[in-house]
Amino acid sequence: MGHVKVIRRSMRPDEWTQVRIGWLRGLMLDRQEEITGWTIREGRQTGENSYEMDDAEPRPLRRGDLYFTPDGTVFLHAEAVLPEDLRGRTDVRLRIATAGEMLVRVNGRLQGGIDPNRETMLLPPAPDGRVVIDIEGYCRSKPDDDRNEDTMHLKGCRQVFQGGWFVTLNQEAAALYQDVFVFWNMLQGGQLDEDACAVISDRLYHALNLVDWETGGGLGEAREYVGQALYASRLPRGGGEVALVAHSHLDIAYYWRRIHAVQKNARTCLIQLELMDRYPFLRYTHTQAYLFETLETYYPELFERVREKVKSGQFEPAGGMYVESDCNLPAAESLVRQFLYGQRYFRSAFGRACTNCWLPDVFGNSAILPQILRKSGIDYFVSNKMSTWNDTNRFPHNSFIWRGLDGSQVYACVPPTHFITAATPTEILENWAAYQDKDSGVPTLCMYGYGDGGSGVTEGMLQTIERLDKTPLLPRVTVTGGEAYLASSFGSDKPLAVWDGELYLEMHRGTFTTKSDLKRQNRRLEILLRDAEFAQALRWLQGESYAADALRRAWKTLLVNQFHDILPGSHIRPVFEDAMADYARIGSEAGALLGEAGEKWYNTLSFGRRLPAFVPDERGKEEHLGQRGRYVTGRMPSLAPVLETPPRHDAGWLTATPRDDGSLLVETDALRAVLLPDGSFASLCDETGREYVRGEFNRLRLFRDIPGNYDAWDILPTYRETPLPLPVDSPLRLVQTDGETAELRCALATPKSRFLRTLRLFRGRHEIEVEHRVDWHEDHVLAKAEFDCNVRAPYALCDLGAGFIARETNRNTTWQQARYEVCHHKWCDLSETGGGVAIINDGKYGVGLWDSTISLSLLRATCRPDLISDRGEHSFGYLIVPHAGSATEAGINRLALEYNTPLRRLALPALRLPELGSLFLQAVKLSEDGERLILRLTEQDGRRGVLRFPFPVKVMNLLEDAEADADAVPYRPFEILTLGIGKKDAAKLLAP
Amino acid sequence: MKNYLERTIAPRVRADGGWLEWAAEDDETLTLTARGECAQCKCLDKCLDWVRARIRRDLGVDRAVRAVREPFIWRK
Repeated sequence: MGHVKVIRRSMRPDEWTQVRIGWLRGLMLDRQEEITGWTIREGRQTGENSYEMDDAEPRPLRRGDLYFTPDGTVFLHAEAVLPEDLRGRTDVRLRIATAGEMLVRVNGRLQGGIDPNRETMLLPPAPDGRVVIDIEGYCRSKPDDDRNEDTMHLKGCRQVFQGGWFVTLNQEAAALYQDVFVFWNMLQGGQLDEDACAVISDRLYHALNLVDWETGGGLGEAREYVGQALYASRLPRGGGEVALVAHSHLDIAYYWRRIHAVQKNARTCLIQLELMDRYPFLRYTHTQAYLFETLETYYPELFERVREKVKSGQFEPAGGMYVESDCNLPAAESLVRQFLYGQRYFRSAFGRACTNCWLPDVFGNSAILPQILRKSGIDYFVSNKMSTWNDTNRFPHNSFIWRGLDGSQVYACVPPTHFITAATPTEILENWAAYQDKDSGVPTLCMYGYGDGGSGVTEGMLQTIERLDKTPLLPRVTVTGGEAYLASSFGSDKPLAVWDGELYLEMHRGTFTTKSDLKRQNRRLEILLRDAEFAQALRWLQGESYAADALRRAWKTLLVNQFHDILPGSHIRPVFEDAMADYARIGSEAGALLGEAGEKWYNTLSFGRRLPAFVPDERGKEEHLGQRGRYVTGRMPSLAPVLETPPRHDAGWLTATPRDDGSLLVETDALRAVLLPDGSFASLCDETGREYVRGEFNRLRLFRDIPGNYDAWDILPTYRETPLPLPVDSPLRLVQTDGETAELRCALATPKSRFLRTLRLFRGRHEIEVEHRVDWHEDHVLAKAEFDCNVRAPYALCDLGAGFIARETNRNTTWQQARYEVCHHKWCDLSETGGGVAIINDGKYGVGLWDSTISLSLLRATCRPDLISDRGEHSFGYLIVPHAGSATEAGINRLALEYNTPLRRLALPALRLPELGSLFLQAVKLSEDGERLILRLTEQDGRRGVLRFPFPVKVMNLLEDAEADADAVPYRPFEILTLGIGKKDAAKLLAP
Repeated sequence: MKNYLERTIAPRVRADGGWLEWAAEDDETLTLTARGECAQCKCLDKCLDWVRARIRRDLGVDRAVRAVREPFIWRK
């Protein structure tokens, strides 16, 4: 006899429980009184607090009408009178079911927020019954801004007005719902064993049998039953300890523009403040000094309420940074300024600096960060990405010590589950189950609160938390703030593992390359601001004023644009346009502060330059990246005017001989190269005959690049499986030679795009510049320049902006395999004992390094979130540097600084600093208190030494707090020094 | 019409992560391509009604507005 599968078609008890939980939610709304007489004005936000209106006058808004428009802001107004029986009551709520984000004023006061995560808010008592409601709201089609499944179906930038209501809650139904939700959530979460599930299932079913669903009776009996049969049951307490910390992730720009973050932040803060009054155990952690600044500027009354809650300890400013910056791409000085301006703001606004760096969503963290944290007063680092987003390897720790490039250490907390949770029992169980440092004695961290676009904690989350203490099967739960959790959990008494080096995220590898214009402008402006501060500081020493406010403003604008969804390129089109407009403004303001004038060139670098330096000159015969000019040669000493030598005119230092196979033999007084029609090298030898080329070298390559949903974020390793043709449109030929440089040019083209390549050789030099002018119109294509070097290098060196890191070139394990695309700054290098090849770029950050290959990422063409990302014209260049010795012996870092830092037309005296050795003068500025000259020096080669001054200087931390006086300042490899010098002593450093 | 769409409608839609662009037009109907988040939006029809109303208000012409959805990964 055959087997007959039994199929149950009738409702199971759990299905009945689920249905009745829905009914229970229906019972929660007790009294509903519709508010009529709404009016609406619609418009569009044009600035942080400015709007252009679509409607000249308000118009009526009735239930069922459409409201909200794309990128629109609505202003709703209603004047209502409470029914007699609701007047004076403290439990009357405003209810609007919406996908919009609404900031609500009641009788003129900011009262609360309504958004997709909460549809009611408490109203203040209105004894006279008069309630005037003013709402500012917008509705954005954000794809993943909230995690509330109940409102996902409402998304979209046009909405149907569901009406506004005065409501009161049936407190008993609400309490029973929350009681039941805790166990229902555990039952559905898949974290419990069968026996526990059977008990919970049975008792929930029976509890809901006690409710009379016709009359709403029996709620009290059901609650009592749940209390005895579940909360007070013999089910055991679970093991472990979980710390709950409330926060709200708020992207300053992403699927919205920076100007919209102002209202998102205000709404978020307002909601949390209101909850704090009713739930005294709530401790809320909020990051980014920039957000507090905008709150202070545009919502001063709300800011004062925040300040009061900071004083009482419920509202906790955190993170230390000006914004939650990307931590791969910004220069070291930018990261320093994030803390300098961030921490100084926290001190001035709230009386104290932060002790933690809170970056749950940042796409990996540079090895230079621990030192910057420690020297900015930060002891704890909090992230989340590596543990929950790595695509290849499970990051092995959640609570550990992170050691940086220079050996600085911070306590690191990378919790095992997502940073956006609702503090549900299942999320708590999942967190403890996934926690890898259970035996460290450090409780695991579970962040809760909705976010990406703010919103934060809901009342429902807090009501769940109120029940966790008495809920069986759960780990012990502590409700705390970020700072209290970190300070009480981490310490030298805990046996924590050490993670040494960068915190590489095995995902989002495309963010090193996407939106190449942003990367290039960011690099250019970091250097321009350095030079502008330098020029201002020297003029201050000469008795002129120092434009501190203007420089700080320019820096802050640059820092905001280093936010982790702006500079990395993971945003919608208008965010890119805003950033480029900001960059243009910073460039113009910093240029004015630099104050270039006259005909004399000045070297702002703290070492003598070796490369011929291109300067713009309308009369010049050369062109560099589309700009006419000439190459300056001569003596270019450190921090001093340049002593130009007249250009040589004999071009005999170079010969170019066509060969039968179509290649070109190019010989100079320093190099011998065989060049192919596409500008790649078949051979490259120095004067000793040392060959640097192994395979395809300086070859432009295109690959299909479709990573999936995370289009702008990711490059997948499979890109190499689909190379695309890039034929030669015009073969390489010698186009210009003079006494100093020679140029060869070729063009490559697809049906949509064209690369004009110029190879530039310099008299007596090994460096070869490769310049590209690209008209780029591909879709989902990655462009790379690849160099197969005749070098056996088990490690590649990559510049981090303040030191370098060694990365393995093998693919032995999944850890190396996952690093097929990494971030570097101005240079990378493959060397063996005796020599190697470095590639120095002028604004590229993504690179692949394996075996003997350097694969520099040039351009992407992603379609989500910005459909036309990177399309258009681009100009960029890089230097190929075949060299003897190691990268440090060959001075690659200095060459990279030269290549990226132009000479400036400055009429300034030389600044005569002591012998700096391998220290680089990263910044010269006036101290924030206006008292002294600040020198920031970074050790760049991995050496130690002593810096000696002829007078005592203040040794300071990065926040410019003096820590010691010394005239001999020792430094260790890759150390960042901040030194303060009084004006009188500093003036002695100026050359007469 | 193309200019109006590019200068007035597109920036607003793009600021919400959407993308509408001109595809075809005759005396009665304007056809747009809906890309970005618009390609998967549940309320696209309501948004197209808004586009129609804006065109009527700003340009004084009445066109039925429809859209062809083009999810990003399908783009040729």
